[in-house]
Amino acid sequence: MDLNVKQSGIHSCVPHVSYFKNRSGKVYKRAAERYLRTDLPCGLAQCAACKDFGKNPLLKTENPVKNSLVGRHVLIVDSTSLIRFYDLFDSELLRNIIVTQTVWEGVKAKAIPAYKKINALCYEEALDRFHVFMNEFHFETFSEKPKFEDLSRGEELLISTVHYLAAHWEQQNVIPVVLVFDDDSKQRIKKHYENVFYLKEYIQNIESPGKQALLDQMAAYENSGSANEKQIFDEYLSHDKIMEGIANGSIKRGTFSVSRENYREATVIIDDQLNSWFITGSNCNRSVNGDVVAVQLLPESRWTCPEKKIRLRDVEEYVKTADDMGNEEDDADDEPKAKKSKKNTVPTAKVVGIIKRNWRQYCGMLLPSTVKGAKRHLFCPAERLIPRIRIETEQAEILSQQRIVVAIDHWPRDSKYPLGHYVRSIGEMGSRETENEVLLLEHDIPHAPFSEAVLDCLPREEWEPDLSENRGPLPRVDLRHLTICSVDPLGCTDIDDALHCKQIGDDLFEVGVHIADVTHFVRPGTAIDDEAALRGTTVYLCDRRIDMLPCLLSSNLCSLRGEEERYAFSCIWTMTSSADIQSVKYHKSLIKSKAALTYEKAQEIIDDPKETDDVAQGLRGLMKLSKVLNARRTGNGALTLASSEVRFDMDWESRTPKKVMEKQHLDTHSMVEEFMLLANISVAEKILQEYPDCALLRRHPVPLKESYKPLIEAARHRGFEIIVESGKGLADSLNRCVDTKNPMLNRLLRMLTTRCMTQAVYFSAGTVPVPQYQHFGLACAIYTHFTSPIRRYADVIVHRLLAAAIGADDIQSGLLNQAKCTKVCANINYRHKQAQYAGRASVQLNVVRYFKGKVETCEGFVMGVRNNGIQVFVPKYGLESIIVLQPGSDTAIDVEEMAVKVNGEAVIRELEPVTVRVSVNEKNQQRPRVELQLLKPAIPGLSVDFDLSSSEGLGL
Amino acid sequence: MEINLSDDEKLFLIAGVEADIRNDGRSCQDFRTIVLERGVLSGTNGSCRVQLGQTTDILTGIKLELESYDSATEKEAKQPMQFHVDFSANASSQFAGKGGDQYGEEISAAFQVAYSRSLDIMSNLSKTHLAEGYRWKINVDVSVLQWAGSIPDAISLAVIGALSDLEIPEVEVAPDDGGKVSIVLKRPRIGGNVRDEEVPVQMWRLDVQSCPLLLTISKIGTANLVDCSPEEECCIRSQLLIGIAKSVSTPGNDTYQTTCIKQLGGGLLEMESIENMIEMAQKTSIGLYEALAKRLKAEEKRKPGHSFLL
Repeated sequence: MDLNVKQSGIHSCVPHVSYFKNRSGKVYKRAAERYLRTDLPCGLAQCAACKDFGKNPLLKTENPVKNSLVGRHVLIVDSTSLIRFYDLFDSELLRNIIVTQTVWEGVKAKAIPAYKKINALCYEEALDRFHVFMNEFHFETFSEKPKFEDLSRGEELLISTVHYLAAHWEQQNVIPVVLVFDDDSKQRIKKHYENVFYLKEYIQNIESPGKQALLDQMAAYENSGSANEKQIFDEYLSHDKIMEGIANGSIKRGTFSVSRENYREATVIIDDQLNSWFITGSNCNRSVNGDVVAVQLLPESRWTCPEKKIRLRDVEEYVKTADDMGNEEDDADDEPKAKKSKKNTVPTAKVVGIIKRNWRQYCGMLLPSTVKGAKRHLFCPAERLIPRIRIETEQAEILSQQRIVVAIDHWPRDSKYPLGHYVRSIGEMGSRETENEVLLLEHDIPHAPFSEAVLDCLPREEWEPDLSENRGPLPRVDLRHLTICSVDPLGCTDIDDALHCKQIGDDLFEVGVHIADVTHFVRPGTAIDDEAALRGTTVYLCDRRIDMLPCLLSSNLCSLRGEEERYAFSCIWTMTSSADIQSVKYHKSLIKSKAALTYEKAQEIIDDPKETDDVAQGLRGLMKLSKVLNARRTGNGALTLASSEVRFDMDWESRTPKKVMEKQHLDTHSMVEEFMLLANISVAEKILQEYPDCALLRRHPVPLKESYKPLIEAARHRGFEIIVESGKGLADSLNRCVDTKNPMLNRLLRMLTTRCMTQAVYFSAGTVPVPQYQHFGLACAIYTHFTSPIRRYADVIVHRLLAAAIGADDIQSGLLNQAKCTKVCANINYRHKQAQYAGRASVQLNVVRYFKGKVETCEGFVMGVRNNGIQVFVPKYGLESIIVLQPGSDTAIDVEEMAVKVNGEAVIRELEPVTVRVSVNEKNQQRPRVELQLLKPAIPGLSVDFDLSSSEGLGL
Repeated sequence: MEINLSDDEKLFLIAGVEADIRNDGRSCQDFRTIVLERGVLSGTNGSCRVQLGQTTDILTGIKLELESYDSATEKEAKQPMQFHVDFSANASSQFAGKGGDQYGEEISAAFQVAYSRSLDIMSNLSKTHLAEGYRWKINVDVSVLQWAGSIPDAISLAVIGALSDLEIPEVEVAPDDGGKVSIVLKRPRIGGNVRDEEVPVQMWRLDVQSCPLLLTISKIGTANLVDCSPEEECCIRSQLLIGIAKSVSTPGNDTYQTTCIKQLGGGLLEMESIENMIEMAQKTSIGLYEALAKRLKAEEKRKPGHSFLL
């Protein structure tokens, strides 16, 4: 009947049936055979019966640690003890331990950190103290049928094993002792086996002074609470309930935005007045940055306040290495402890539902996994506001060296991380192309080569201007006779503006701004126009430029190159020497630039008295007028703001950064800027007058008074007062903030001011009240963008509007449609913002590349003081990083005073200079990062830093 | 299985049954020996094998499936059982390839009809509805291993056997996002931190005592027969497939209801004949139900490790 040929120690075969539910919700029955064996080693060194079966390390040498409860014994631990107290088992006081297979599997399934510990102990570190007993394959210890109904299944299997071992070792004078987690379990097991102790009881009776350390260690765990809830998050309300709540006002909807400083905190703006609710910890309830969520206010007793603590995922991982399955990486101490300070609570809410997910595909990399051959991995998105994503993959070995794209599928209630899947690989981690690709993808920048359809729209390369086809009510004017020149940065190939100035009478000047006539080539409704509208802007990375228009136009036919005839859109004023504008006219033109100058060259010409040709005279005239214009603008309250941007001088052969360019400010910079502003304002006035409902304008909202708070605070600590009642007041008070001891102070305050403000945006006239048209930063009532149509799509629209307004071109369909204009604005605002972020990220990328193998000592400034560290800005490289403070005995951080104190004395205060050492930390090969170390003032504890200014993972 | 009988042989057979003597020694209302065995396929959630004599052999397995459905569009509770009958080429060469598909579909459809009111006739079947939007789906798959007549009768026995063998996991329903629920297998012995699969799941069984039987009653000559052999099936004038369900509404006083009638093959029947045939089906079913109940009660679970083929 039984055809089975037994060649090894098989005793019998039992069918083993188990039921389980998989991740996608299917329920399975698994029926498998299990062959029980007779040749599994019990682990005891003296056991003659088992000595041929394998290594038997237990009691090879007599146990030097005695226990008053029991004589010569071997410990058999339960899985709960291992899961909760795995660190205790490092101790040499716990010896001769059997880990049963059931316990082993249980620990592996329930708690990965514990499993890793036990694995290391049993198979690497403490071979002589541990033995794994394969009880589920042993014919005497495994039974499918329940034997002891009053015990849990785990206890039952443990007891079966102990009963067997007790009988098996009867001759050896060894007592198997069951070590369980708590007294309850002990009492249950006691009915079936007498030698059972709970962990604490056992340790208390160890006859060794070292036990106190173990007991202390236990005490630390005991408070952490054993409630191991399966469901981590609350369920979402149903759609109907949410809608009902929104209708009656108890629930608000808004966009979930995670704090850049602390990933456990987020805010949701709940109304038009920009009031926001604060959300923290598990109240975020599986929301991902950018989701539209439904939030409900918590009772006031549960309100908290932001921790003022820097929490970045990579900072935390710096301490405890990333865990590939760490569901159980318990958060007991992670819950914000903000409760203790009750005074500054803010309205705190919880997320009760998701209205719209903002999930997209994310670039990033796999976190290195410590369990070999594991299938489930954690993915770390490059965007640091996005949580880790759990994915399953078989090819982790290969992917671990690559940048990959991952999509989120869903986020179940019982999972700490959202679940996703691998989409594709971008390329080798660390290569310049891959990192650039990541950067472009992450910022959603369209960067594919131009399509055939787009290229078909281009004119022939040998295109020449032709005035003969010049018809229409306002024909193109031939301005080739004028002395026009352009002034741009070195190496600029897309020259979209040129200037001229000519004295035409006593105290009367003709000044012209000539802008590349892009709309002559880019006609509405063509493929090239659609593509430009989609791209919205040209994106400048350190080592690459992603054009809005194909190269033929942007660098050649539209570019106003020297000594070449080009079509332009001219704006010509007549003004007096005090820059009073007498008249202004707009028309299309044909120009021939006499010289394409750089800022430096133009400055040289102006300054050199020997230069007396037309170009020099024109430039001098422009310079004089620009100074008048600038003085008038500043007088109106225009702000001079500072940013932290830097530029790299690239080695174009290898595309690596050679050095940071010192940005030198020349008068010619502001000369060109003034006339561009003037042109923009003039054009804005013209198109608004003509099309009050659909003109594309640019506005900069007046900031709320409250948003200046960080600036006012920072200045107050330095002894200055900032007036925020008006733009003029702000500009003047900023001008007064000069500290002779700290020359950077003024620039830093201006940087802070920038951060208090929202960004300027494009909008369609008629969509906001007229007073809100104003541009706060430039202190003018209306403004638009006209002067850079080669690299900005907004200017292309404005060109069309102006051409239509003056009759130089037909009014194209859709041009005068407010809804369409609003749509265009939304896109170019988005693209513009993304392009800025991408540019900054590119700089950060190159900073890391630049510092590879270099160490430099720089001056930095403290931009912020947080509970656990300081934010330091290094102007030379535009770097902003956090130096984390590890609390020392005499070092304290006072967030109220914005100072770090050593022995009660403030040694670091906000906005004050510090000396830092900049280097690249390559400890993590996959993710090297720029590291700052505080050199002066030296404070014990302030050591490690983390780069705040770049997205994590983008570091080369 | 191709049976070729000469006219004389047929006449002999017909004359025999009209005299209530069948070629194999049975009378008209006798069944062949029935062998019923449960728990034969460990990979299924419930299984049963039925043999009629040594020559008709049916294997039925049930697979459970946790099914989610749209509760908004499905207001009425749906019968959870799905039948599928498959003819093995071992049964007859005519079933090779797709040969048995049509016949299989015909029989599946008959079972679908016979069980269409299963929620009413099986007392605890409604428990398969777990929560709004979730239910167990019971897939009944029948393989005809050997074919020697009376296939529907054998299948109906095997289906009841498999349903009685079916173990359904108990579940716990926990609220989840958006008013939905999540289903968790109920493991009464939690704790001890062993991996979930190792902890047994609590199971429950269906009440099958009033599951319908499907009987074929054949008219040969003037006689009505149950459980025809292949030779007898060659001589059939007309055949009815009659579904009978035992109703246990009043204990001890069982009534038997006809749940469906379907004519198989060709031929015409007078009204009176139909009534006679139904009457015969009901009479036969009483004995069959009794035997079945006794067998299901007495049968021990098959010992593990022993093939049902032995």
